[in-house]
Amino acid sequence: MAGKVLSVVNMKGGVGKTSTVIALAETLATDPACSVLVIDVDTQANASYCIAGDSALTEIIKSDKTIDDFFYWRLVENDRRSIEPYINENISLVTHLNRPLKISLLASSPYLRITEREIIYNLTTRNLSMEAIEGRTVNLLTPMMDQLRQSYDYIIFDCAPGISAFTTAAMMISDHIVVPTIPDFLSTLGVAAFTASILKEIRQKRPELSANVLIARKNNTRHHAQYHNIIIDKAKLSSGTFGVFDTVIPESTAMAQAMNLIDGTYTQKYSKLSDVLSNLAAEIRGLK
Amino acid sequence: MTTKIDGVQLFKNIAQHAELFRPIEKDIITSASALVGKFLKQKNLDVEALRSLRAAITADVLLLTIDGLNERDVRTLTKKVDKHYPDLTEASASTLRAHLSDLASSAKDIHAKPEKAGSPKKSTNAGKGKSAKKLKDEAAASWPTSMEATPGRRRK
Repeated sequence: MAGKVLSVVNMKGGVGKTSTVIALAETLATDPACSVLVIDVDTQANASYCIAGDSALTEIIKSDKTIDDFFYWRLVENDRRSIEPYINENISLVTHLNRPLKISLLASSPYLRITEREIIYNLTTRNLSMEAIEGRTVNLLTPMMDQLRQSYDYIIFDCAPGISAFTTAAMMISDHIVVPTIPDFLSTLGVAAFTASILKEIRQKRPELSANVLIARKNNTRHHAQYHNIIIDKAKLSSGTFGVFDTVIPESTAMAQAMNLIDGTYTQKYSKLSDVLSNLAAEIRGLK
Repeated sequence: MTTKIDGVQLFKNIAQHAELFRPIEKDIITSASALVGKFLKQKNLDVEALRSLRAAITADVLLLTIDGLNERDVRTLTKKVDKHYPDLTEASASTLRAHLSDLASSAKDIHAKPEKAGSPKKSTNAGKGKSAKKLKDEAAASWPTSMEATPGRRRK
């Protein structure tokens, strides 16, 4: 097994990154042969909450089994601990055809932001630049990811809005980048800025990295149709810098409600969106 | 002259001309699923009917249908097909779904009537709305305590 690593990224908040991560992880895991690891590097810890549920996440945070604790010990204290004990195996409470979805979680906590600041303060006082800190994070994660690829079919990073050192590192070690966006004016500004700056810079170091925009929360207005076309046209002119998924996630209260359902069945969560999500999962499976 | 549609014959005809109906495939899925759901909601449904349904529509489709039922409907269905299921109000929905699946596949049989029936239980609120206590518990559970949890390293 050599799992695929995906980062779900956008500098702009509120475009559906976490919903995409959860829905994609759960849809891929409806295949009984498929195991998924979600790595939450968003300080809001929403993906962690939606996958583990409140009480399990409380225990994870209290017992220091979060990614911020891992980063602290490895990057600040130079401890040699491995990543495996931080992974909460098969933690999903969602079932499909009487079988729990095989989703494991490396959780985040609201303290991730503070930890990131501590790491930056600490390492900059040792005269390390931001680039060096990102490099160190990449060097830390790369061999671990090679190992995790052997255990999971998909490893999905839920990245924070804005671009943090951890988000950059996640993108650097990914095979594919998924950029969810709403096809409206402000969100398109965000995609334009992201593809012209961060993505361009990362692709200079990793030219083989693929990036695809996922149109999410699209409604039936002309405004959304126009911006959807603008994004497609721009992708065609981008000489392969980024593409656009054919699948479009429609604006729907069903998705918001699905995020609310931490346990229950996949069918209950996504009955109205199952076709769309299965198309998206097929596109993800087809990424090379 | 025909004055009434023969529904079963109509479905057969639609199935025989599936390509013709391809443009409205979504509606066919919705209608067919609704029929299966309605079948499960019959008052006098028993375990044999559940088993026959499984044989007719395949195990996966039955499981998908049961997966789509909400918790209250899952409890009602379990009560209908296995009247003496001992743990009906306490068991989780996923336990009941698994039980229904086992009953349908004949992996399990229905529970026998307890030999010594005690005094009839007072009616519970199960399936008829939630008790005040339960509502209170759920309200408390809805506040995300994990967002306030302090990592062990920071408590030292």
